[in-house]
Amino acid sequence: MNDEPNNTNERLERLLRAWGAEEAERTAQAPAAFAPPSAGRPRALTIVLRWLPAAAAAVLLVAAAAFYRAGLQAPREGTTAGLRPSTSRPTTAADDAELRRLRRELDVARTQLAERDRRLDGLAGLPGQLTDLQEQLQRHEGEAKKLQADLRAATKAKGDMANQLAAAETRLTVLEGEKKALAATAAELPKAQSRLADVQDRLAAAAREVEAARKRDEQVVAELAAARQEAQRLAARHEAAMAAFQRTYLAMAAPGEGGLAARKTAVKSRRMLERLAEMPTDAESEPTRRVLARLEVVLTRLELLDAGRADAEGAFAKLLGGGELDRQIDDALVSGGASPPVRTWLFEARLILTGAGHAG
Amino acid sequence: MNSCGTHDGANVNEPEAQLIPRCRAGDAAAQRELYASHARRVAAYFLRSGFAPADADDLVQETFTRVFRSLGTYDPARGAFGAWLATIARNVARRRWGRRPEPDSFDPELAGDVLVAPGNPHAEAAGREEIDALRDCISRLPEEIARIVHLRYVQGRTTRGVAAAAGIPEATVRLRLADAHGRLERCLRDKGVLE
Repeated sequence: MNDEPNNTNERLERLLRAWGAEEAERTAQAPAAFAPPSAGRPRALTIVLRWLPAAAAAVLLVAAAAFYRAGLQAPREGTTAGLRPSTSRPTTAADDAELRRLRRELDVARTQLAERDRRLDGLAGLPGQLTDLQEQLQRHEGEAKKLQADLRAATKAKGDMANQLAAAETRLTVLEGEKKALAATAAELPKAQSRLADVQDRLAAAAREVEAARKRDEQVVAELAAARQEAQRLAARHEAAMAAFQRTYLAMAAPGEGGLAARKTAVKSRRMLERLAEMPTDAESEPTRRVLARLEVVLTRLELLDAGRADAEGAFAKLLGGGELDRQIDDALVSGGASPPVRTWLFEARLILTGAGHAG
Repeated sequence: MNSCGTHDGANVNEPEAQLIPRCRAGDAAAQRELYASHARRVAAYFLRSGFAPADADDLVQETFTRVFRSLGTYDPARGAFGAWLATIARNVARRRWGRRPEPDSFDPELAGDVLVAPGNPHAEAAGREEIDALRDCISRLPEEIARIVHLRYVQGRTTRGVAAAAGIPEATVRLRLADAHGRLERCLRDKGVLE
């Protein structure tokens, strides 16, 4: 019952497959009744089959006619004993000959019929061959359709590739133009680099000049600062000297006095206004004459000023206008154009007025 | 089979060996008897191969047309008539193989089982009583599992074909087939068919 007891699964699988095959055959719907094929029969076979019964009937008809003719001739030609026991007339040699001829014809007809049967048997395999050929033809037609479809697809792909090629050629042309432009630009590059290097050199030179100018400017500034400091130092020394001269001068012209009163006394004691009136000034320069006229007014006011008032020094300083009158006196003295008496008078006026403009 | 089939009122007792010479002689009645005795099996083969029912009918007709035209070449000494018929049916199916609507849904190996002539290994292995016992075990399976077994072994479907026909995943088909195998194995053991 079980050839392979150790392989239960295989055994069960075989049983299931046997059961399934049996069930499939049992439950399969009964096919339609068999219908011998008529359509699709080869033309040669169709013609043979169509005329075969008629041909056979014709052969049989000929044979029957021959027998009938032999039967009609028998009474006239006599009978042969033993050949046709059913007839009353004995057969003759002619009847025998005719009978042999008919038998030969019948044999020939049978041979021809057998030959046709043999040929028919030979043709019996033709439907199957033709069916195979038709199937091959269908397959070939299918393959031809597939090849045509492939050809159409290939033609379409060829067209697409041609379009892509044209587009690629257009892009290539553009790229070649760009390449030429780049080559031209590359040729210009050394010149541009040379010009750039030149510009850079000039820029460097300009930068060096700027640096040198800046250093010179710094030097000038430093020199100016030094000169300014020197000038301030000289001015301070000058002021100090003038202050020393003024103290000496006032101590001599107004002994025991100080401040505005000492200046007022010095104007009187040194007869400043009288001496100015006595000096010829027509030959002096115009700036000197303007300074002398201005000093005449100032000294007159100083002489008339009440030194005892509290605001006397402030009012006199306002009249002097700061140190402006001192610088005008210095300019007249430095110019060297004034006569010696005028120079002396100007110097004394300068000593009397020094510091008075900043009072208060 | 050694006799004519039982269908369409055919003579069930006339030996196949006597039918074939009559068919060769062009006896239409003999041809109908021979056809009736084998047509279901051939139809089952085409259906299990995945051909549509209408196509299967046409293929059965074509198969027997070839059989009767080539019957003169059949030599009983070289094999049983059923094996010769199976060869012609396989050739007919092979020529139409590409026209099957669901080629991946049917197992060609299972399809060929139905054409196996008596005396084949499957038939020898599966005796009548064993198959009857198996049929009884299958009838006891749950309906959804029995359906899977039917789709697989009667319709000859692949796992994919069973899944498509049953509307379930292939993995579920495999699980249910394994379950069916287990149940059937136990049932057949209980019946003494399997040890």
